Amino acid sequence: MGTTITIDPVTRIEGHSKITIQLDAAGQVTDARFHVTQFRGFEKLTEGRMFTEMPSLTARICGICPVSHLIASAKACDDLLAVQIPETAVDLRRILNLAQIAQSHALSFFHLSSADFVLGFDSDPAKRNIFGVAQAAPEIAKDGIALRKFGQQIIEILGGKRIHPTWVVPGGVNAPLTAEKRAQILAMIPDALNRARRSLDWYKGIFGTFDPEIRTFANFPSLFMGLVNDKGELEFYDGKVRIVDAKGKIVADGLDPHNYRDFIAEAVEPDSYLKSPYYKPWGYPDGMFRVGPLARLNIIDRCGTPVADEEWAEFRMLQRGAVLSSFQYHYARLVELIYCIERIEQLLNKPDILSDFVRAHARPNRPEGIGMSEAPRGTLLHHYKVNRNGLIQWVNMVIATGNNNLAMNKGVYQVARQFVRGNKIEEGMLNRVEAVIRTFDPCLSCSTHAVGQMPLEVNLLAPDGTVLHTVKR
Amino acid sequence: MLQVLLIGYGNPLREDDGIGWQVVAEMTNGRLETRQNPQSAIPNTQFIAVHQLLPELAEPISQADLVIFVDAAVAGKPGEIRRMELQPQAEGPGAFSHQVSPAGLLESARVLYGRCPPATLFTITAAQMGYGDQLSPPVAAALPELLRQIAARIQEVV
Repeated sequence: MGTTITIDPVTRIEGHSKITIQLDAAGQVTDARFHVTQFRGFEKLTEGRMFTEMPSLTARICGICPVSHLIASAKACDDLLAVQIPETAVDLRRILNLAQIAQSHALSFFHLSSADFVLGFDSDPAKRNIFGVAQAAPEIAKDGIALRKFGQQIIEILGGKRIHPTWVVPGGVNAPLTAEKRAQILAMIPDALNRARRSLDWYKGIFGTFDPEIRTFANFPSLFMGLVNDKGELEFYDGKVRIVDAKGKIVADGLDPHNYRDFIAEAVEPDSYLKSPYYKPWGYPDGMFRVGPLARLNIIDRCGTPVADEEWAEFRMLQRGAVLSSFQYHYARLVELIYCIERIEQLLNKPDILSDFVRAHARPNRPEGIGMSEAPRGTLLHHYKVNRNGLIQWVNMVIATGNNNLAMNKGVYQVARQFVRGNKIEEGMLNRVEAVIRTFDPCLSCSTHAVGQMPLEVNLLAPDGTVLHTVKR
Repeated sequence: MLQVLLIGYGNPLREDDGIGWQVVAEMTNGRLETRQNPQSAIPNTQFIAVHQLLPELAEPISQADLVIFVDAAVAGKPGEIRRMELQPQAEGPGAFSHQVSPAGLLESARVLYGRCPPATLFTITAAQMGYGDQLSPPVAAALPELLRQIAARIQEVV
């Protein structure tokens, strides 16, 4: 008789999920599934709305990364207008996106994950949070708070408010940057960079103590996907898609986001609202790929800013070929955090950054528009079809977290094989499964466009579907 | 000069849950942006209106001489005002970036920034928290008295 384990809820992630582990008659783990049990349906409920509302509407998908949706949505709308938006508008959108990624990476590393590093994966769950870090390692917590604030403040300065800013519009942005705001942001750079570098140095000093986790946390060969610019550098706003394999060899390069349906297909599983995109030429499930910080650092030729480039070179020495352990998403996140701060400074120092040419005005000139950008968690795509009046007829969104769905499932399976013995879930299983999922920093609110809660449940199932053991948090 | 920090929190699109925002709007003559450009009827007071309490608030709390939290409550009779003096207290199980208590923030201010000012929580019992940006009649009727009590609390230190 076989068995299923359920983990419910999964904590310290953005959303609600459940995990089911299937055992065979011999008590061996045969499958592990990460179910996302929430649904909102933004793709349907936006049908019939004016396309100009899409950036604001889709930003409501998430309170953590509304800017990511704003950017991808505005780019899809630019495409509908068939305009090339002013260069300064592109740079200002870039700064907003970089600030969003910086604050989200700080939230993920410090607020959600640092407690595992500071207090240990098996420490008391009641204290294993940012407040526990504040007690045990106040300097780490202070750096985390300051770095998140850095990103949030830039979003507020540029967009008028921290959450759901309305500054990004189809055709550009609705107000130019002032010299005063530019100076205000530039003044924040040195402290943020100092804190980010200090945090990365700290992480590099401690990650070696987590060797068992590094070896087993979703550590397997896969493809990696993301955007790169024409120099092969890190690119969060525009660029072309590059895909590399586990050896770091380029499988596909220069892919136009407009042709995404040629290289990405989306599988739908009966037990989850989270779609499972895969690399179409390799089929399902062999075309499993990873996106986000780890993937981005695996696909690029360099970052494109001085300190991040040095850190990236050291990061790539972790492993010959691509860095495969998802544990090192944390490492990659900190390198990207440094890049974001440096790149914001570079953009603010461009001569035309205060230009008041920041918006192109046009009516819809195409029936279909596609926008792709990099969100904190990976590649994000919005695709709209409109009628002649600009009313939305059809929407598809390929969300960063969804892109990692197959890899997250495989990561849970890897942990389950290690921690399930007989019909029981061994001590430490919940902590490890949660931590594996957390390395991907999934945003389930985004990926299913669903209302978030924060629970985790693991069910252990027999071959006939009988629930043998349930663990909840 | 003494510095007072008033934090109103809740969802302004869920009727009475937006009481914290309403208090900030009333005390700043509707200028919620005073968070960036403090100009209010009451001197030396910084106002913050947020959907939820976040760890980042520990720093401005540590810099204040008095902190006032304003929130909606579910217990009691609709429109009932309660005042509670807060003590710092470490967060319990389940503390998360989405769920922080005023006492937990005071504790974080103490641990991280070495300073925890006196703090008062004012709550007003909600009658309804459905979709909408208007207060219910009993809460709207109690708002002037809530503002009077908050002003009186600030006068105790200014």
